[in-house]
Parts: sequence; structure tokens; C-alpha cells
Amino acid sequence: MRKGYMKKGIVAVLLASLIVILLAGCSGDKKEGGATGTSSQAPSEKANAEPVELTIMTYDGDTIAQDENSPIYKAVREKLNVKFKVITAPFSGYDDKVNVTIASGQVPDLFNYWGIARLAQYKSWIKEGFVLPLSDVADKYPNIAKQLKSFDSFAKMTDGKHYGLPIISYSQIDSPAVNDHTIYVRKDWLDKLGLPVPTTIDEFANVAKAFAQNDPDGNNKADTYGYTSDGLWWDYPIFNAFDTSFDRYRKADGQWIPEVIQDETKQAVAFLKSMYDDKIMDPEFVINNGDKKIEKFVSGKAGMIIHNGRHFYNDLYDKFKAAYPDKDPKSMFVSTGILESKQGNKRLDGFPNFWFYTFVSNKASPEKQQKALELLDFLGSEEGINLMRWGIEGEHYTKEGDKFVSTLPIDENGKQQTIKEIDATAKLMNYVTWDSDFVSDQLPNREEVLNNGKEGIESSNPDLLYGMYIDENVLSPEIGKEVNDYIFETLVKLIVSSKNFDQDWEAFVQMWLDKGGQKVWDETSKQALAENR
Amino acid sequence: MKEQSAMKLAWKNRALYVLLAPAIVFYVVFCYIPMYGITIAFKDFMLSKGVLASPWVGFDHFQTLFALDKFWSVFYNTFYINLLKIVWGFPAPLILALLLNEVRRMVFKRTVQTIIYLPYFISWVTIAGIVTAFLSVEDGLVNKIILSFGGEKVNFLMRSDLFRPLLVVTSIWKEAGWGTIIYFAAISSVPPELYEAAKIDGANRWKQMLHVTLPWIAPTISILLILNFGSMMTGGFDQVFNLYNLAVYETGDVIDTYMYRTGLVEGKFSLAAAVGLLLNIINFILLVTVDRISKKINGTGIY
Amino acid sequence: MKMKRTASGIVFDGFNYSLMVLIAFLTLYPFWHLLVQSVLPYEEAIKSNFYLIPRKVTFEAYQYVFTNFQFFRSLVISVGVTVLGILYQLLITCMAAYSLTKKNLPGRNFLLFFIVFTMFFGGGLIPYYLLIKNLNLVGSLWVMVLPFAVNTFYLIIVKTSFSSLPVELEEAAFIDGAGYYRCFFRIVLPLSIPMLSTIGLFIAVGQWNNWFTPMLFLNERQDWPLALLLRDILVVNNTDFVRNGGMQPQRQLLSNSIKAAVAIVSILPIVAVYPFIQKYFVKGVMIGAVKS
Repeated sequence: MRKGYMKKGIVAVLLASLIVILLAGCSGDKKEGGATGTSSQAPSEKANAEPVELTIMTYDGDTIAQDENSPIYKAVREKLNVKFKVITAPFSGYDDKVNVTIASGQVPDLFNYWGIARLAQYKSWIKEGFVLPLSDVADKYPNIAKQLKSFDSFAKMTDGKHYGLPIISYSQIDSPAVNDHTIYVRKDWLDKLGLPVPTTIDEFANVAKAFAQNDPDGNNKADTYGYTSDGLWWDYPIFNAFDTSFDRYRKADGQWIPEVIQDETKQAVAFLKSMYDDKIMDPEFVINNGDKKIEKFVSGKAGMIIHNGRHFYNDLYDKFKAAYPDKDPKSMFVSTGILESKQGNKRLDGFPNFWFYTFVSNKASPEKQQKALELLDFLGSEEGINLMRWGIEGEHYTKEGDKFVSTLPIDENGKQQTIKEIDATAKLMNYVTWDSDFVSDQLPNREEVLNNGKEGIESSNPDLLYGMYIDENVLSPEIGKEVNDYIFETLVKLIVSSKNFDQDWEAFVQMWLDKGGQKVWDETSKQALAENR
Repeated sequence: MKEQSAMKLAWKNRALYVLLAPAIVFYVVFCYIPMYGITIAFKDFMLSKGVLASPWVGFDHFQTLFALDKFWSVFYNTFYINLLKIVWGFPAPLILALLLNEVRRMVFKRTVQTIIYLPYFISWVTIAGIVTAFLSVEDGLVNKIILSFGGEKVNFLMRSDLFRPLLVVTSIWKEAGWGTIIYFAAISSVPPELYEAAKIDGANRWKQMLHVTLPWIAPTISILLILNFGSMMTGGFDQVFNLYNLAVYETGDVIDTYMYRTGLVEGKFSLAAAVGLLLNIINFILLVTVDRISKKINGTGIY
Repeated sequence: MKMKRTASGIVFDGFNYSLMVLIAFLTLYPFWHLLVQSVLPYEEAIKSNFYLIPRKVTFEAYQYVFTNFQFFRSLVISVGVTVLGILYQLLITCMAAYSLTKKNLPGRNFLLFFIVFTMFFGGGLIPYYLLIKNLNLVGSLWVMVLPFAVNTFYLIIVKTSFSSLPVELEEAAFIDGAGYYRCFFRIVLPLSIPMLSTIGLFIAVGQWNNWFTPMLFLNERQDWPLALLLRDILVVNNTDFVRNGGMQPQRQLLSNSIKAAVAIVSILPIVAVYPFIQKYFVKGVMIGAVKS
């Protein structure tokens, strides 16, 4: 009878899955040595000391230290006598996982997280004693000390000490603010219409208008927009080109005033509105996400976008090449410098030269803490950086004088393999630096990549009030967050549906003040003056 | 014997307790042991101290919540959107199941059944991508159809007034098909004799559905309705988060998206716990209320 | 079954069939769109048109998904977790539901309240995480099965379904000397196959799609079930996080196709399995037993 077979089938599947799960559950414990079956002690390891195991978590580091025979991992183990246990967290849940891991009483020995970008939480971690005060131990580790020094001002926000290591973005740049965001323009459209690459806001407006109205792709259809973005935030360089912003304060006559309610911002918003009304700006700018924005640029729906610069040049290059196989991508798009405002100023609001922080657990054993610090110091040293960038000399690269030449294979598309692809352990470098300014000699389109967003990287506008902390009892943080949320929503309304702009603008200003903006302004001003910023 | 002491009765029914035991163990271990966490909503939770030793702050977090300028408007949105989803979305799988039940050709029926289940397995991230593509102003299929009928293009996704209907419609698209499964199971348990009897009495298909099928599955319908109301205020983040944009906050912003976007709950377990507790209390009240009403109407309830 | 074909019946049938075709089409067309997107090479994909038949196809997106870090291992894990989960949860849930249908059971009302209460009030993530940790389940695949013994929602539905069985069936069995166990396993369960199949399917889907539990509690990528792996691919291919620099671009030309491929792969299991289990849903109830 069918029932008999059904029972047998169920039992079989049940047994099978039990076996699988038990196998899977058990094998998780023994990762080392399983891959190639060789003994777990490589001959050159020091026979006397057991490697110290560090439990680590990192944003993109799931695949670090998977195979103990992979070259970079091996090299790190030999040099420092450490091994790693990685707590994996997928991209989408990293924050949650860190929080829950710490909440359960286990602070990873070495991990990264937001740091001062989420000041309140950082401070509470300090208060609760989770993170090691790096300032206290930095004198023994020159590279760590050097890096902490370049972010000296951050220590002020946490009682004069660094409790974490800011991960530096551009290690060669010594500037309080960097920003590689740039405007990309369709070069072939410019050429067709006989226009130069825009350098001022007025030229930008003209180019946008021409792109929208003069059929730059020559297909006799009015199907092109001058400009598109994803949401309002990416439009900030346009605000900057009107000498203003929607999220900063400036000092005028010894007073601090919020730029978002100033007249210049009104002009910037009016400009965006006119572009929207005249169908120069893509009406879906609010719906687009990052992918869509780039897609519209490449496919020819919009002639200009604002996006990350530097290595993103090659991202766009590849996309143009794939989309238009018979054309030279370099003839199709270029990036601009910083736009000049009507007043002749060049301004691009920048961010401090870091992103994310690395922390060492304050609860770990002194031995582990020491190893973690040694690791960080090594990663910041020239030897460490070279190992992570290039690999092992002779195996992955050769040196021609002072120049490093990678010997990794190049595929048929001209793309050379990277060390990270050979051994993801190279991502350990990201505990110390994002290495954003590293442009290898063999990188395709090297010149363009170096120039992409160069101006912003070297000279962007620092936020003078960055990281200023106002005591929670004086100004509850909810107010600031609420007010900021109103800004974008209302500005978008102004752009998209306002019928009486002047009136609606006044209403916006008033609303900003009423909904807590006035209070935020007062307290910010007070604090800024007190700190003598 | 009318009077049997409770103990005797319990012993007599000991088999039932044995059957119940694993479930009870589960509830005690996995639900009630962690239950002390409810107090997080009333405390200033500090990771290093743990839940029990963190200091009490009473209703402070709730006060903070209610003091938020936008709280009531996002609260209203949460409530109203989910109510709309029940009003429009609850009957959909039922009607669909009843209609599909009338289909006599098995192959056709089974094929349609399998097809309508599929959207349930697509994440809102993906659905949002499809919806955006279809409703796009320039290349969206819907707008192209409108244009070909001589109408004007509509910027669907940025219209505040269309956002709630969009949420309801996409919700139905995703979940109605899956929701028919349970109705099919209930419908298939109707004893065929009842249909025979009805036919003998001269009932046509419509009357049969009305007087045989519906009453038979009424308990299932009631239970599902009660349970739906019992989960009304929670859930729905994924859908709104992936579909909304700056232009539709007014009608579409719900509590969870608001708290997430503004970062109000970043690292603040207590505040998040307070929000969760508040919504769950409302859910509970709704469940009990609808349960009572259902008992009055047709005697079915959770108890 | 003989059916008198009335005029109104024919009209209704016509309307009904057309409606079903329309609904099926409206449901399927977006999938077709996804399917097409998953095989479009980059230059076609960005043109965002609605091809019925794509001009050029490439299977690179699927290649990327299937060769992704241990795809098949994740698949096997998902299967194991799902099968175990169904058996475990279904059994415990049904046993409890059956007991709770007996209105004369002492303490029944209290137990029901005790259970329903947990649908709304829980301790939250951190106490739960601590509990799992104390039970030594962190890092073990059992964390995906053991804490999912009962879903109160389903419990109530099953209880309602059991209650609607005719009382005479069990009464007859009691008279014949059967105890509760016999009644449950020999009478109630077999008669409830449609409902059990339904709930079993719901449990299966819940287990299969569960990515949150493994994300939080599993620490090794090789332990990931398929749902988590696919979700990670989806999220990784969204370039939205690059606002402030730091990250290198993913250089992924195919991100749209990959996202679509992931969606298609997500529905394959149900499409493959459902036809085989469909028959259990429409199995008739053996009413003949009442007559005896």
C-alpha cells in the first residue's frame, strides 16, 4: 500500500537529514586542517608557543582565515603567532549581530563598528567598559599612535582618550575632510551639443537644460533628462554650489547659523524645483536607488549624476563597455571637478578621513589584547600594508627597483586578479585602513581613476562642528533626529508639488523652527561657542 | 457522578497531559523564561548590567515616544494601513478560494492554484523592484497602457494618495494566493452528503456555496479573522521600507520605518522594546475584542 | 459528479474561468519579467523595457548564484532543517491541539491563556539570545529546530480544525474501549490530513525561509541555510551603502540579473515540491466511519 512506502520514505529522509545535520553541526568545531588533510602545524611555526586565538568580527570579513594554508593567513600567523576565529555576520545584519553578541556578554576580541558616527552608543560602550582605551597603550605601538594622532580631535568627544581606532580612508592624505564624490557627465552628449565640461553652477544648469531639450542622443525623441539622483541627499553638492548645505552650520558675524533655513538654500531648492518643473530633472529622483541612478546614466536617460569617485570610475567604465561594446567608454563619460558657485567659491562638503572604527575588547585577556594590538600595529606598518596589498614576494609579485609589480594572472577581460581574491585574509587590512588611495600601477585607466574626484579628496570642506556632543539632558537626541527627518520630506515636497514657492518656503522655515529646530539651533550655538570652534 | 474532584478528573485525563507536555515545556523554556525581558521597556537598559540589574525608569520611554512630534501620525498610518489590509485583504483569499473551488477542470484548477502561491515566496525587496519597473513614469508598463488609451502619465510611486492602495494591492498580490490554501483545506473537509442533500432540496451552485460551504468553514474564517486582528499592529516593515520614498511619508510612514529611518532606536534597546510592547498590547486588546464579538455571532472563538 | 448545467451556471463558469486566467496572468507576468531579467546581459538589462522574449540571454547570473560559497551545502542544510522542523513541530503542535479540544480538561482555560499570551508578550531579542547561549545552542544547527516546537497561530487553527470533527467518531471509539492515544493517532489525525498537510506546508515554508535565526545564532558561513545565503546575495548586490566611501565598489555588472535569479531560485523549491503534495489537500474525509 502507498502508506507503507510513504512511511519508509519519511524515515529515510529523516535519517538522512539527521545525519547531515549532525555532521554539519560537528564539523563546525574543527575547521583547521580539514581542508587539505595536512598536519595543522606548519613546519616554520615556532614550536614553543601556541598561537593565540583572537575572536574577530568585521563588516566584510566572513571569508577571512577560512583556510589555514592560504598564503596571507599563513604569513600573519608566522609573524604574530595568532590565529583567528571569525564570527560571521552577513552584510545585512552586521549591526544587529554585533549588538547581540555584546549584549550576551561576549565582546569580540577585535571588531569594528561605527564609533563616533554613532556617538551615543559609543559613549555608552565606554561607560560600560567594553572597549579598550587605545590612547593608554598607544605609546608601545608606533603605527597605532601615528594613526590616532591624525584623528586627535576625535578624542575630545570621548573625554580626551581614544577608545577605538578610526579606520582611515585615504592614508596619504592629511586633510580634515575628504570627499571623492563627483559629478559624472555624458561626454558624448557634450561633444554632440558642443558644450564644455561644466565648471560652475551656471554651466551645470545650462548643460542640464541642453541635455533635456536638445536631443543629445540624436534619436529625435524627447526622452532625455539633464540630471537625476537617488533621493535628496546626493544633491548636496548642488547645495554646496549655492554656498550652502542642508545639514551644516556656518559662522556669520561671530554667530552660528544653520544653513538649512538660509536664503542660499532657498535658492538651491528653487533651482532644483525649476529643473523638476521644466522636466530637466528626472521626476523619479526620489524613487531611484543607487543602482537605478547609475543605470539611468549609463542607459542614457539622464546626462549627469553625482556619485562616488575614485575607483568607481572603473565601475562605470565597465558598465559603459558592457552596454556599448563598440564604443570607447572614455569618450562617453567624464567627471567634473568641484563646481564654482555664483560667488566664485568652490565648496564640497567633506567628511573626516575615516569610516568605521576598530575596537579591541576591554574584557579580553591581556594576552589577547596584546596580540590584537600587535596585529593592528603590523597592519599599519609598511610591511603589513605590503603584505595585504601585494602578497608574498616571489609568489604574487616581484619588485623592480622600488616598484611593485603584481604577477597575478590577468583574465581575458584585462582584469587582474587581486590578493583579496586569492586569500580573503588580506581584508584584515580593513581594520586599519580602507586603502582608498591605493591605485596600483597596473590598474586599468589609472590616470582617470586618480583624477576622479581628486579635487574633493584633496580639498573638501570640513564640518567645523563635527562630532560636537550636546549633553542628553540639555537637548534630547530625539529632537534633532525628528527635525532632520522633516527637512528632507519637506524639501522634496517643495520641489515636487509646491504651487506657491515663496509662501511654502516661509512655512518650511517656520516649521523647522517650531518643530524643534529653534531649540537645536540654540543649543548647538551655545555649545559651539563654548568650545570655541 | 456529577461531582468529581478536579484531581480525579485530572488523573483520569492524564493521557491528555502527556500529549500536552512537550508543548508546555517549549512554552516555559522558550517563551516564559525570557519573559523578564519585557521589563526592558521600563528600564534604562545597560548591556553590562544585564536586564535584571538595570535601573527602572518607569514610563519614561513611553513618554518619549508619545512626545515625538510625528508619533501620532505614524501610529495612525500603522493602524489605518493595516486595517485597510484586513478590510480588503482578508476577503480576497476567501473569495478566491470559493471561486476556484467552482472550477471543475482539475488540471486547470491545480495549475492556477500553484501559480497563485508563487508570489508569497518573493521577498519585498524583489517585489519593490518589480513594482518600480511596472509603475515607472517613463517606461512603466502601466503608464504605457494608460498612454495608449489616451490618458496622461501618472507618477504612481510618488503620489501620497495612491500609496496606501498600492500597499494593499501589492499585499494582496503577494499573499492572497497563499492564503487560499487553508480555505481549500477547510472546504475539502465538507462532507459530500451535505451537498447531495442540498441539491436534492433544489439548491443551485450559488445556494450550495452559501448554505453548505460557507457555514461549514465559518469557524475557520472566524479564527483567521481573529488571528489577523491579533497581529494587526506588528509586521509590515519590509513592505513599506522597500516601497516607500520621501514623497509618500505622509500616508505611508509607519512606526517601524519611522523609528528605523530616524535612527531613534539605534542601539537603544529600551526604546525599541517600548515600541514593541505598546504595539503588542494593542494587538492583544484587538484579539480579545474580536474574539468576544465572534463568540457572540457564531460561537467560535479561540477558546 | 453529475451537474445540471443551467444557463446561469454556464455564464458563471465562463466568467469564473476568464477571471482565473486573468489572475493567473497577473500573477505570472511579473515572474516572467523576473525570469527575463535574470538572463539578460547588462546591455539589455539597463534598457528597462518589457520584452516578452529577450533578444540575448546569458546564464551568468545563475552561475554566480550556484557557485556561490557552498550553495549546495546550504541547500542540504535547508532540507534537513525543514524536514526535521516539520516532523518536530507538527507532532508537538497536534498533540497539544488535540488535548486542548477537550473542554472538560482541568486547567484548560488557564493553559489556553498561558499559550495565547505568548503570542503578544515576549522578552525580546536579548534575553532570547542569552537563553539560546545558555542552552549551548549558539553555533549549532539545532538552533533552527528546537526553539520552533509550536507556533501558537497554527496551534489555534489546528485546534479549531480538530474541534470541527464530529464528536460521534470519538464517542464511538471510547465506547469500544479506546483511550486518548488511540483516538488521537488512529482517528483524529488520519481524518485531518488536509489540515495537517496545510499546516505542515506552512511549517515547511517557515523553516525554509528562516534567515534571521541563522544570521544571529550561527557563526560559521558554512552553516548557513539557503535562505540566508540568498538574502546575503541580494543585499550585497545593492550598492546603496556606499555613501561615505570606505567600501570599494562591487564591480558587479550583473547585480540586477543576480537579484532576479535569486528570486527565481527562491521559488523553485515550492514549484518542485507542491505538485506532489497537492493531492493530500483534497483528500476527502472518510465520513463513512460515522455510519458505523
